[in-house]
Amino acid sequence: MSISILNPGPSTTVQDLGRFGNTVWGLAHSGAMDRRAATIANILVDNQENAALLEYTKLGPAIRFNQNAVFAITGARSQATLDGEPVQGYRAVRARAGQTLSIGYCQQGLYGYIAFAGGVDVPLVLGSASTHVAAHIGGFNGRALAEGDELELKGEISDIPNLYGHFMERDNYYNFGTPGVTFIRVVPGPHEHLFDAAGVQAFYNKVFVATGKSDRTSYYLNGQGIATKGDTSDVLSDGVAFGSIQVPSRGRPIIAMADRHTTSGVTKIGTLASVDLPLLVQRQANDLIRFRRISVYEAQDLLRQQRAFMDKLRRGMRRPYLGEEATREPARRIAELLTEQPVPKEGKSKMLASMFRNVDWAQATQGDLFRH
Amino acid sequence: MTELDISIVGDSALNIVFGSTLDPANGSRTYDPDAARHVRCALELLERQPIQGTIGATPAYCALTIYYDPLTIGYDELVLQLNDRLANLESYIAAQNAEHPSRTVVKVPVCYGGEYGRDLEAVAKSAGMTTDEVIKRHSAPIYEVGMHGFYPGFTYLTGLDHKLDIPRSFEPHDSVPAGSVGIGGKQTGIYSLTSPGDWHVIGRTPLQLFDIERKPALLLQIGQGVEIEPISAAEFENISQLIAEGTYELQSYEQEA
Repeated sequence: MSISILNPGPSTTVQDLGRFGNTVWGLAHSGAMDRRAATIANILVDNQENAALLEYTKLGPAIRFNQNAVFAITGARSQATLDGEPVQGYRAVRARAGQTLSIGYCQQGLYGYIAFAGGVDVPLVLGSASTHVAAHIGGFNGRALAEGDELELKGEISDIPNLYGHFMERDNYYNFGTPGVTFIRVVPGPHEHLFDAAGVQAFYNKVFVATGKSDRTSYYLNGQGIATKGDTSDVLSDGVAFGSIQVPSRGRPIIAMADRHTTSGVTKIGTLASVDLPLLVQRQANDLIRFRRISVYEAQDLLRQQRAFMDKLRRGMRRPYLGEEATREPARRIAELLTEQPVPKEGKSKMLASMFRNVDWAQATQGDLFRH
Repeated sequence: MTELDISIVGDSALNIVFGSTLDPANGSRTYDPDAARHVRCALELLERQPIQGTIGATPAYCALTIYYDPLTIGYDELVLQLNDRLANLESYIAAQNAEHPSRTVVKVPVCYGGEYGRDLEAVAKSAGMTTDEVIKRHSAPIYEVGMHGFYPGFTYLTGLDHKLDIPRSFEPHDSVPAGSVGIGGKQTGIYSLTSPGDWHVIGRTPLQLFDIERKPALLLQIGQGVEIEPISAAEFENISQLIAEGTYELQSYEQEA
């Protein structure tokens, strides 16, 4: 049995947590852009954390279930519906054969995930279900999903034990709807020594603006140019990590994403702390960002804390939920209305965005986009 | 051996940097051919005896990037273990050189200019020479496969005639066909897949550098020599035809190192 793609949205792909060990010949790790959201989605439906799921961006897919299933939506916020009825994110939901799930536009954040109990069933390529579209590798025929595609799920799982206990209280991790700047932590290196002191200082003290030009390969920021010593940004090409912050000659950061080029000849001032990668990945155009410097030890410690968080979440799924869904549901909706009034985008970043209005981004970065 | 020169690449990767020359004027490093051998041999040693928690590597000219899972192994512990594993790197390199005194040189046919090398004339102009001289200089050296990266199978070649150094283009091509031969800064290389790119395209080979269905998927291996044979457009078509039929035989020979 399967699910059918009625409308794929601009780019919906099958992903897991990545394909490792092939960078030796130039194949990036790929995998979910927001590994946190993908991991949580799988935990919510009792899957292995690395199970294959769907990732969408900007506009989510419409899907018809040809079988009964249990699914969970995480990541970007949208107004998803199941046969027209609102569906909440961050909880396991039952779908019956014949029903249609429609995700809609991402209102906050850029990348969303749909995990299905059992997982999406695609052949593993080099050990992973992840799609690398540019290399035509993995996922569903090596490409983004198209209208009419039919995807197999692993088994027909109509229900999971303790279904109503499978939810996560929304936390403020993403800083969605909060006015102001989002701080993102960075581990300096490997090329910080190639930047002049003023350049490094500017990098950690100025505000950058998300450009909305970003995709699974690169994330582009606008803001003050960062100067290198001797004004050259050319280095001999070397390895790139998920989150490598490359600063090309005209000085605006380009951050390497999941389907990154595995090597690059551009100076790399630092690398995002892994725990903050999803924070950046989910920033929409005109969101404001500042970088904060931390040590590799702090970044690794944060990852251990995140691991503990996921383990705790998993244990929570097993705890019997004693409340009735019917009485809990309205309370949850009212609570959301009270606490999560979205702040209009305009007021949030209009002023700072206008500072950069005179910069013609397309012009300014031409030539830096594909340096390798 | 002295301690490894390591730079931090975030919380899940690091670079082991091997002998390269630092330009005091602008702080940039230039390629030291011996560094590539260090990178290659270090990778071999680490693949032979993997360190628990490491999940992959990217070899480059003078840096070997190691990816790892910090929940399995922390930064300090990994640095210790890498120093331990690579303590005998120099003697390993010496042994490898003694054991393999020769290397394989693969002949790569390339059709320069015209529709296959749309930037040839611009490159000639920028280098202040004729297109024929660019072709002569570009096909003269025996290159070495330095690394793969960018997209799967993109092959970076070292040994470019420094008269052909041309900074990467500021007007990148949206689509560079697979097999295209380009110049980018001090490097030359061959595109494995049709992809965007900012190198100056001067020619194209009909050979398929990367095919995931083939074993090995890569046509050219790190450390191999590459000799470019200039061919005509007619020969290009002919070889393409033979490759499509599966009857093309790759030309190669052994060369004393």
